[in-house]
Amino acid sequence: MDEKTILALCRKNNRKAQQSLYQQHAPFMLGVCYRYTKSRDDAEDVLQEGFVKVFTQIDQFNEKGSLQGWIYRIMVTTAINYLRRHQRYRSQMKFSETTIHPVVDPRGISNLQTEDLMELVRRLPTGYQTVFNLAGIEGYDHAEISELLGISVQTSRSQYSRARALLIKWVDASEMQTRLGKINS
Amino acid sequence: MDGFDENMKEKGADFRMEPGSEIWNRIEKQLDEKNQKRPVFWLWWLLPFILVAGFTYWAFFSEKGTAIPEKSLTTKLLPPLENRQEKTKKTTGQKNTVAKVTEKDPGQMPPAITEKTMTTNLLPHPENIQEKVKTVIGQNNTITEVPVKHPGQMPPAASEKEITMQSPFKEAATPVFVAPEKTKEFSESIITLITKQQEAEKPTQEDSVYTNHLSPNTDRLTGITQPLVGFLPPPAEIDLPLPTGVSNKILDSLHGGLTAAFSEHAVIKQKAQNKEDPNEKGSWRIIAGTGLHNQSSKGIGLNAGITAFNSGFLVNSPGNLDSTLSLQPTRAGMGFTVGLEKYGSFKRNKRFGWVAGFQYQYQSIRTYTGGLVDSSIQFENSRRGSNRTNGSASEYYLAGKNQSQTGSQHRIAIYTGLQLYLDKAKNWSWQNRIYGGILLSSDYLHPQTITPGWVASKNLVQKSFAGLETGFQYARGKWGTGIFAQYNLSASARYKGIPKQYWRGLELRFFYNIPSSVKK
Repeated sequence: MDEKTILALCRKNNRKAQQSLYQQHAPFMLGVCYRYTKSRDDAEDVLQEGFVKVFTQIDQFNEKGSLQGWIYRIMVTTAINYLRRHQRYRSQMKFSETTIHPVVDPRGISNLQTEDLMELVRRLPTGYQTVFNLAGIEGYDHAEISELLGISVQTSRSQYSRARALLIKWVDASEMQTRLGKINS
Repeated sequence: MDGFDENMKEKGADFRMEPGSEIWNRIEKQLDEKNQKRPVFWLWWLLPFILVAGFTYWAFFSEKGTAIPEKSLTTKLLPPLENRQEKTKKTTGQKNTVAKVTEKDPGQMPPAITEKTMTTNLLPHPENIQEKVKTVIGQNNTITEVPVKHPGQMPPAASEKEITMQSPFKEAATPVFVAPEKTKEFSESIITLITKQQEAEKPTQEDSVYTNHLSPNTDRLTGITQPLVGFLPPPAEIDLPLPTGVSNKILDSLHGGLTAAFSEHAVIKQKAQNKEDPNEKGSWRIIAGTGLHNQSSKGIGLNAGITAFNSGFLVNSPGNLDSTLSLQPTRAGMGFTVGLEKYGSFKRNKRFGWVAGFQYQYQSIRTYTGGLVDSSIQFENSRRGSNRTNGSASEYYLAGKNQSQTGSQHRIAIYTGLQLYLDKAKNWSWQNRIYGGILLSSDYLHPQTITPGWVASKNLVQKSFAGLETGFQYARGKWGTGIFAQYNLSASARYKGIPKQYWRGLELRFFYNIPSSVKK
């Protein structure tokens, strides 16, 4: 089935088409959810909640943009709402302005496995993690982020720089460990 | 964009994870639940319309809704006092009959010996009692052969004691015995007998609860509830449909279970109510609005008189026929509304809210009677003073277009409704309301060329009305505005001749949200 057919059937609440759409997009969307949360269980909860929204609000998709982009946005919004709703995340979502330090790019980032890099992103404090995901990976600009999270543009920028600096530091350390391991072996 | 950011984006776009197989099952289950809830959601929207339709039918179209005369009520609820005394006399005429009746059946008598139970639930209709007693008298002491008409529904204990009870509708915990006006000895024997039986069959607390729930209470059939009598079956005919073999214990346990369930529900509800939620408590707001209203009434009346015959001077009226077709449009006029209402969100679905309040509406009216056609044809034969009219037709009046009246209407109403929030910030909402109340109208006649007798003049006419209102409103902060359309029907239960009126209105309203004094 092509995407248009699936979409048309999903609008008629066809369960097979819904399952087909889910199977097509779930792995990528779970990756998105995983980046915003701290555990796989939480990521799966967000994924479930997000897909229920997708199927119940599919009439609102106007077919002007890509379907994946529309689902992607729903997942990101659902993930942010999930973080706000749960106390264990909410307490860590403290956004404060920090001084921006210029950081030199790490050399070994391209050598890192994607999974390892994503694990580093998830190790960031929740506030940094959210802003970094939105700005560094999803490509939102700071004005959009400030609206989405209810913070100022300046705060969004400073959070992003701090998160980026931390990540670069961790990537360098990781690269160093890998090299040492190779030398030792 | 530097290398780090590019790398992060690339790696983020490549990152995928395989979800567990159970997630799809969970999604499917959640979707099924949502689909099942949908019809119920729409039923909620039907509810106001069903209520309005029901109320309108009851208020304006149902003849059963009118009050039953007191006389007929009395007849249905209680056998007349004379009848009861008569029965007592007849029965006491047969000595020993009473003793045998009450001694024969105590085991079969239901345990509830309160007055209420005996004459409402357990006793058959008064005529049946009379018939049974007669049978007893006719067969002289052969009580065991008394035929029981409805063994399943009617307990066999139609005894002397029951017949001589006082009004069964008094709130008396213990039965009151009225001694028949006979010899002292006989009275004493009856009292002794009944006291013994009362002791033997003393009703338990459960029995009292059980019977009190099922017995009609005529004390409540007064005032506003009296018109409802027409809707209910006559109280004296409410029988307890006890199927054979079903003991009171089963019903008692059933009642006990239901009571426990309701108590539990009440406790849970109380707990839920005690839970703090500022959205559910609601807020007050003051409403003021103005707009255009228009009303019309139409009706067809046909009245055929009966033949009258007076043989004194021989006045013979074979019949008359009156017909009235009226159509009363009014010009749209300005009016205003003021009110106070409370609104809030529902606990389970924050997208919906409730609203309830009361409002006063003023409207000046000017009615034209141009569409009125009223004619009367009378056939009369009269030989009084040699006047003779046979087959004459007289037209009382045919109102012209210049016939008009002015006046004012005052509508006082209470209402309740549902509101659907149209945006996340809850600024926009769609409101649907049902309302009902009292309409007071005063009409002042313009100088008339013909006297129209049907016009109510210079008096306040009281009517009841019910209607629907729908509107969209926008509120932000303390102030808000909205546009509302309303439609209602008014009629008078008191003055039958006044036609029903249909009222339409379109109003622009403003409101002020009263800030809560307690802020967190």
